[in-house]
Amino acid sequence: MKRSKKREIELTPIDPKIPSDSAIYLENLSFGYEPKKLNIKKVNVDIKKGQSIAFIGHNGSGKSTLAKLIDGILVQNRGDIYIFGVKMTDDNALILRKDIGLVFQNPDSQFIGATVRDDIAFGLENACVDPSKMNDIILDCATKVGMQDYLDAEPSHLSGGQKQRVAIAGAIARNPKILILDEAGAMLDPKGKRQIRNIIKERKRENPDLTIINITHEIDDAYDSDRVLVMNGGQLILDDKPEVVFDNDELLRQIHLDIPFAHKLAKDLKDEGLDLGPIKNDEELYKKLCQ
Amino acid sequence: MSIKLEQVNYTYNPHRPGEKVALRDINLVFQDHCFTALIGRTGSGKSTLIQQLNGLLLPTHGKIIADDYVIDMTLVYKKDGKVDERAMKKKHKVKLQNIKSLRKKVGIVFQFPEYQIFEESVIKDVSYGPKNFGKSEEEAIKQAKEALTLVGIDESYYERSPFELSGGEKRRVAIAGILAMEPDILVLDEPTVGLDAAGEEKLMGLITHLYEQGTSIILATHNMDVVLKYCKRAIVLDHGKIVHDSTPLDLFQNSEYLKSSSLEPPKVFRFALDLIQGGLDLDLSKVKDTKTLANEIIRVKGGNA
Repeated sequence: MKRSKKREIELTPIDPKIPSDSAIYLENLSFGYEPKKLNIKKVNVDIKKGQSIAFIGHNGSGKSTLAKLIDGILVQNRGDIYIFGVKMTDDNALILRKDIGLVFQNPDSQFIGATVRDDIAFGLENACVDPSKMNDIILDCATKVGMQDYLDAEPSHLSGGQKQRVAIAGAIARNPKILILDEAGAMLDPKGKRQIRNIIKERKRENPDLTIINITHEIDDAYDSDRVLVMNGGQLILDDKPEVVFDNDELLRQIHLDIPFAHKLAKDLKDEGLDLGPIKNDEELYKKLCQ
Repeated sequence: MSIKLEQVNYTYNPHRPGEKVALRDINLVFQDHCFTALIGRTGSGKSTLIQQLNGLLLPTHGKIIADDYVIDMTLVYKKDGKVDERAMKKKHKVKLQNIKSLRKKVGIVFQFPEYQIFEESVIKDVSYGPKNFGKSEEEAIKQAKEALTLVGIDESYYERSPFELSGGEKRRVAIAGILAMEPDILVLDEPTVGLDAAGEEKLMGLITHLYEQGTSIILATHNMDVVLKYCKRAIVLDHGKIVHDSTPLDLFQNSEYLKSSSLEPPKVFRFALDLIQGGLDLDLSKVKDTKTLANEIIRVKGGNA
């Protein structure tokens, strides 16, 4: 089941049944690492161009597997993936993938180059970018993630957060239309997490058409998204706005997810005898308590 | 038991390329029956410090006193006042006598303990430790069963292969393997990493229970919610040095120090600080989690139901 690396062929035409504003369209997608045991079960979802999506779910719920399917690293057993309306096949997966930037969780396992500059260049070389333009692109991307002063630094001299920022620079260097972050902040301290979050926000502000998929445990990341998709046992069990999803405390608790701070405190207050009614976020809770 | 570290220094690969100083002049006492957090970013020396506590690593120089067990690597000087390197080398060559007696008292659960599992069945894995420390088969199994009961793994698991268990179960089996040796001091390196909220609460509940039963707890962690809620003392390491040592409350209130470090109080504490600024007269020392914060808010504002 490996993608064959054939000569680049013309893209298959856009499928007319897929809505024109769709970035990623999954149809009845199923996948299992072992036969007879599905890790992804019949997922149907239409992610629109320019949306930011958060995938949440506890360990083993299928979030990362789904990301790897979308990037063509894994191949589904059943169903179809459409990237900007084009059906992914063995032949075109490598071409479609050029529109997708991927950042993984572990800062140490995705640093390839001997220096920051080399690491960002790696992806560009793979994409056959004109070498004369490379230096400018590298400097530009490194600046965007605040690593311009470290271009010649070796990975062992960087903190986890800095390595992750380099990984993001590498992912955006090819100017992808879709950016997938697979728990990119999970191993960082709060400051590192916040930096990553701000970089992503800044990218989004500069390029509103960028489609972002954030696979995360962090409730704060999910709150910033347009849509939250909840995975459990390989199935997509909820797909809605963050305020709707996080209002569903009972369900989140059932599938072992943390609930947002404001909701948790409001619930504890209610249990102890102070009912403040529905609370959306921290600011609202603060206002109600300090008015 | 208490452990005292005197002028402990540790250098990886001394006098060789790749030399790296990991601990600098650490002076520290872990009192009997403590619940202490070791905080610091990756590379700050936490794990190196932990391994000094039961002689897995010996100080390059310095002294460790664990009750009556002493590891003495204090510097030896020549007449001219320089360090006598030959005498130091000699010291390091002397084989530690009866180090097992120390290792039995200080049990270390490393990060991702599920990777330390190796036996074919759960019961064999957990009874390995006590057997290794000279217990008979029967006694070892008895202690293993007690430890497994403590961590909430029941009899139906005993004969199963530990590799078939879920991540959280594996971690509990690995911790039981250390508990079966009945250590006086339990040291855990990042025990809550990778666990979901429910798993974290369960594990910390177990650790608190052990503390209440008399075990000393030393916890290396990034998780400030855990530090605030459970720990009595917070020690911050940076570049191999102790840069802060106080109660968690004093640490999180020390805004000047926090600004200069990469530490941040947990969300519940920051929100409580906001509320105080907003005019609520909360007692910060009572705030441990959302539940205790809720209680404080109601004490000040009263309920409505």
